Amino acid sequence: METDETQTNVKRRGILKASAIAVAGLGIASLKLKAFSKSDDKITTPTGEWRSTTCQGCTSWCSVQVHVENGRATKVRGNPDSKVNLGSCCPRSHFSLQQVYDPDRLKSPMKRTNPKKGRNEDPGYVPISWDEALNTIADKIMDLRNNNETHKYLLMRGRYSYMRDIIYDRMTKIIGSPNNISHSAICAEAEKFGPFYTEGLWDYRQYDVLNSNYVLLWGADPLAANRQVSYYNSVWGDVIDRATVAVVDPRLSSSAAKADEWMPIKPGQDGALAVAMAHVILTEGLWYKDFVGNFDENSPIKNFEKGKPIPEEFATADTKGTTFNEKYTSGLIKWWNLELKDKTPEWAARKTGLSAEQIKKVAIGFGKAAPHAICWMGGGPAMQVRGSYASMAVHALNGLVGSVDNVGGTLKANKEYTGKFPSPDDFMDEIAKAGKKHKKIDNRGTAAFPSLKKGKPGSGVVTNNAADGILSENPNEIKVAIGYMNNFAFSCPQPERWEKALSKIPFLVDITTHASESTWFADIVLPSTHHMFEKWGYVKSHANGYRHVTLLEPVIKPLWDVKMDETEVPWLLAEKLAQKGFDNLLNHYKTYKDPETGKAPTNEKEFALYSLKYATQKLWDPAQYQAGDRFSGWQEFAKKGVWNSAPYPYKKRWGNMKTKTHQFEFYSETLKVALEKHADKYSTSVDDILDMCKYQAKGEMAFIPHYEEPFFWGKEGAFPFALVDYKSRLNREGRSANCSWYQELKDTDPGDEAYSDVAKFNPLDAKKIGINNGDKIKLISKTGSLECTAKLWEGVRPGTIAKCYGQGHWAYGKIASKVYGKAPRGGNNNDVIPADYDRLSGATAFYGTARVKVQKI
Amino acid sequence: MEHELAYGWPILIYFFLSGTSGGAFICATLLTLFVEKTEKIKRLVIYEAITSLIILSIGAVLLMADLGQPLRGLKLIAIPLLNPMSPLTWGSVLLSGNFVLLIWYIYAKQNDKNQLSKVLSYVGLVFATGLVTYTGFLLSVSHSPLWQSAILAPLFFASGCISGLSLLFVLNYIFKIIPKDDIIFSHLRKILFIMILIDGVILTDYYIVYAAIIRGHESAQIILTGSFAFAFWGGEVILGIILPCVLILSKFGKTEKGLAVAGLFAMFGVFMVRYIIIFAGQMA
Amino acid sequence: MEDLKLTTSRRNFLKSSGIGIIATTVASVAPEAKGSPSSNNSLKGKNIGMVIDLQRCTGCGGCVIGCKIENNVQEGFQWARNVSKTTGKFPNVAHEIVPTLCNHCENAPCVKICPTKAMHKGDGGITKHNSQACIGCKACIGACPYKVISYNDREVHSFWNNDNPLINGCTSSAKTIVNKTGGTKVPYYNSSKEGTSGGAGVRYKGIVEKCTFCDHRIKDGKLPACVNVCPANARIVGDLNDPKSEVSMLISKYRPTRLKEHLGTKPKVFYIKDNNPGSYKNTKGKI
Repeated sequence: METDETQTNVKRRGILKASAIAVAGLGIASLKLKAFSKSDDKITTPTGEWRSTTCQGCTSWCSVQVHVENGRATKVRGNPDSKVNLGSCCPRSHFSLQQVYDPDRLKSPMKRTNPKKGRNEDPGYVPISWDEALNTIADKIMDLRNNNETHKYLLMRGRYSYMRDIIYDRMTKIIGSPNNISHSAICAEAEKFGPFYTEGLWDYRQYDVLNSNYVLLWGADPLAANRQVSYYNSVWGDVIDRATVAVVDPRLSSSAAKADEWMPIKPGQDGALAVAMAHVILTEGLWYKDFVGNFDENSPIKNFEKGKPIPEEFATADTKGTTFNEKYTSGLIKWWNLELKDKTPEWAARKTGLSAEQIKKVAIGFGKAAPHAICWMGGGPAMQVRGSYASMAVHALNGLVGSVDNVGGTLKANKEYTGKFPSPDDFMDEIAKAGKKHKKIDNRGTAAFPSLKKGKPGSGVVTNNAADGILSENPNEIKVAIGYMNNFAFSCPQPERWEKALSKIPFLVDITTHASESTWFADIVLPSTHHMFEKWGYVKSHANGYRHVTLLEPVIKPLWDVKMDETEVPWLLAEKLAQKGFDNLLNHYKTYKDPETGKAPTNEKEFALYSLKYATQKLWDPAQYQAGDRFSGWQEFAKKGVWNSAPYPYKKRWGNMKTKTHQFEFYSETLKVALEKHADKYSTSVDDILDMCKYQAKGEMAFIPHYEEPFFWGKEGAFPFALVDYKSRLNREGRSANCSWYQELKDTDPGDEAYSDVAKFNPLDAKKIGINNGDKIKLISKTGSLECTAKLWEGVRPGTIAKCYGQGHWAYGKIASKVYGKAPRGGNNNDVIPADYDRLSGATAFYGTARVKVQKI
Repeated sequence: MEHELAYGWPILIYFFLSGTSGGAFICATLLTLFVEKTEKIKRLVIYEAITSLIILSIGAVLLMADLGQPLRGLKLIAIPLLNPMSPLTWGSVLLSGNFVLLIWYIYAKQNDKNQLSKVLSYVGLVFATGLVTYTGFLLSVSHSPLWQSAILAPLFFASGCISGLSLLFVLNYIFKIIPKDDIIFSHLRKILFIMILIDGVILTDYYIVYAAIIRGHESAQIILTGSFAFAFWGGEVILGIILPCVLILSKFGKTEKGLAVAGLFAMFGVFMVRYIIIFAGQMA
Repeated sequence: MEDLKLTTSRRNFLKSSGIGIIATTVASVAPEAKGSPSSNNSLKGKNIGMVIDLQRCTGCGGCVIGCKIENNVQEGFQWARNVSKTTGKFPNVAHEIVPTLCNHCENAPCVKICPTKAMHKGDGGITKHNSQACIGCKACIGACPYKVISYNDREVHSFWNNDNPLINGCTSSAKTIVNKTGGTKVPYYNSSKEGTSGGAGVRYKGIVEKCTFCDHRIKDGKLPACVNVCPANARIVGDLNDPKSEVSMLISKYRPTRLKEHLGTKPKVFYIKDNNPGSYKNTKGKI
């Protein structure tokens, strides 16, 4: 490349020659040069601009901006206008550049030429036109409709924006199927269970860390993974200045490395630690009186004493009454009597492998910080076979210290004002209505899958069980399935079940940016836009006391003819269906009118934009202004790319929670109702249901946060190590392993190695079984095995193996796979994790579930 | 990472060859200046100088080949002392200086221009000493716990002289110039022995062991017990020092062939010293 | 294209005669001649340095990746780097991270050892590298105690030269992507890196490269990329000569450490605070 510098060198050369003749000329010449150099700088000034969009690398959903130079995306930064991520963005957001420009991205629809399906059957993909692809899909759907078997249609959802309902809900309903299966239960549903059955909140919390004096991270690693990673990274230096930070995690996480206390708990024992901490907080008198209340002044009992039950009512010679007058909580004494009174730190020390001193110290520190003390639950304690109760126990600590909805505590999401899409009801014909009435393929709501989302039995998804439903044709077979941006054949435990299930489906469509493991089994593959660069959509997320609604915008023109998964594809499909005589879907979509012009969409591009404007109208239309950021209109909103809510209204929910009692429930009346409803449906007892669902609780215990023994697959003798699975700070929903930067920076996950996938052993364990650094090893569980590399690391609890999720792709591009379609790079943790569930929430168990043994290879 | 190794094999061989070349030039000048001017000595000196020139040429080619931009490297010769702070700059002057001097010197010797060869010997002594020394100096201002020592330059000087002198014995054996009963032969034999003792044992090995231990366990481990242990104990100590010493003292070592063999081993030892210092130095 | 440069210099060299050769070579080799295009008055008299707050640093790698993108750094090379170390025995374990970059030493060994002055000190006290003067001798790599200089021993960004698709007809190829986007060497090529004396937009085989303190940015008053992208604000940059600058104040307030200070290189990257500021129990210990 001929740079400007070379040109100036030529000029300078001339000048030097001149200087040989006249020295005096030099001064003038160099002055001239300065002028030249100035203009050179101007020439090199880039002509790019920053355009707003959203990063969905994880569910932090940060508002970001992309630097676009001549239509090319060159850089990424946090959107300075967001009050949630405050202009910062974490490392994984930058990897999106290597995703959008990944040579392995699909550029064309393709179809399978090998009729046989299976892991060892190369699909033999050939490119086809959009027209052919859509016609084929529409024909298959029309066949279902013509045969009155629309319930045999399945839609599988992966990474979504809130445009999701167009394809996930409306399209499925209008075609006439009950089967829209989201990925949510492999995400963190159990993490929502505890908060819901204590404070009536089925959602992720936000944490008021800058006002907090104690932050207790529980299987959560906010500096590395989900949620609001960018925000927490940006403030953590101040947080640790002010607050004591304790981290409960069997491995030394990024957050643990910066904490005051690392509590390397035995996997699956979180419930024990939580109830012991509650025990200490009560016996030490540290509960927050303004929230929880206090003993009645006339009560003869005035404190919690180890092992002593407390009568709920008292009667003395002079007076009688309630022993403990609760303010904004409910069931404290029941909880104490049923569970907490004997759960001493010493007892918990035996279960958790932590010292009683540390448990006491942290509990007292946490209690003393009340109410500005956060107990922050991540997936770790919850996404376990009996995780629902640990989820409740861990979250209940927030109730004890009164940090719920409080300054420096745990908050819900702020109010936002996006709207729903038009109702599909008028467009559902008889076939659709009949089809919709069938049972769902994931067996939710059956006796052994209560799935008590938001208190309603059978309302939560059991994602990973859909594979078994498909395989056993229970409740029915699936004939046509569409998946979008999901990769269950990689991301679900025991993925070989999905390989078989997807192979079994006669007609499978995958909408994706990259050919993935799931794609391997598809008949038609549609190339999708990249969410961050090429798509219209919006998402909402919360942190820092705010909620933002941030837009996904097409900031660059796609290199290939790819379509937006949630809007353009369903529209185009609706057009095809209309051509074939079924126009309900298209007619429904035509009701998504542009709020500015009132025009109905006439093509997929208009539809994508109008539907977004439609859903977000209250945010940008000054005539419909509600609260938070104010815009002059759509143009301004689209340019800024983000709407911020009003600040958080603290303590608004005290006494007004969405529980049965409207209080924070230590004895969950809400759960009691839900469980009894489910048991009634099957004319049996709650005990029986819990037994079926692998829980240990009996009687009243079913309704309180309590300790349950972990449920491991494999005995300790045969499978000596508990697997500690966790997420890489570089994962973009398990799809970034095909970025070279991912492999190069893999060592930013503490203990990991660049260009490698390591299982980390405590050196003591490694010595015992003769494993050395760099050994190629095989991890074997009861349900599968994986191959990776051994690493000796002190940040691992003896008796456990810590391994990051993210690698082990056998069909995801040239970098992620050693040989595409044949050999993975590293090992997929899901290959050794058995498909099991926390059945009360429907969540898939990832933690405290798998035991493995090790073989050298 | 591989791309961060500053000095690789071509540089190692260049260091060895330039050291040997300089050492040989030094031997030649010393013989010219201080030894009785016989026809035999003259022949030996010319052979030594020619070999020195050949070796230096090979070294220079390797050095150029190692440059990422060899054509730009020529600028260094075009503008001497572009950066006077850099040993490399001096190296390019010394390298080209030796080249020119050697050719001139061979011409002078060949044509019996005694006064000129005397002058060139003095100048050559200076330049050759520089050539042998600067590589050590370059390393000693570079960053490695093993390298950062003022002793590296004298060490390289001494070992270069051993190599140059050894080369003399090899040439002497090949071309059958000075017989073993010549007094100069036995003098030179003793000189080689003493130099190996002084340089090999005291300077080199003591330095390596000492520096390695003092400057950190990493170097010590690598050289004494780690991946360089075989090269150090087997190559440097046994084959490079003990064996030539034993050979020189033995009956065999008093023959032309024996001394040549001892010289070859001594040269091998000199090579191993550079090998260990350069590569082990970059590993720590 | 890089051949073009070589032939230019060869032509110069062959043209050589007397003063001519010296003049031309000085002109193309010595970068600090007056009026060099890199010189900018806004940095004159300044001494640019950096403070890295280890407490704020979370080891996320944002600086590493942000730098690579800004400077079109090829795979495997890192101008900014995270050096991590785990110490202690379970359960008392520390995992420390030291984010690094070129220290822009006041007494820079790489500048001293460079035979052609390709490595040189520029305005603001930045250690710059003129890629057109570099002969690829790698002496700077040997001289640098911090291992922050990389040598291009093969074709750069070679990943993007590949022309084979993953799935025939259905996926593209690396080469096609670069061509179609109009990028140089990489699709996400940042052209604003061009035109500084620190080097070309992308380097090429046979020369070394290293952090230039984003000279192309700071000349326009913009923060270096690693500072800009750090989500934790752990990197703070400013003028060490100005006692009122943020960096000067932080250096005064905390007892900063510098890497391998004992070597006398006078690094201009200062580390303050600690990776883990965690508390411990008040104690005198016992014998």
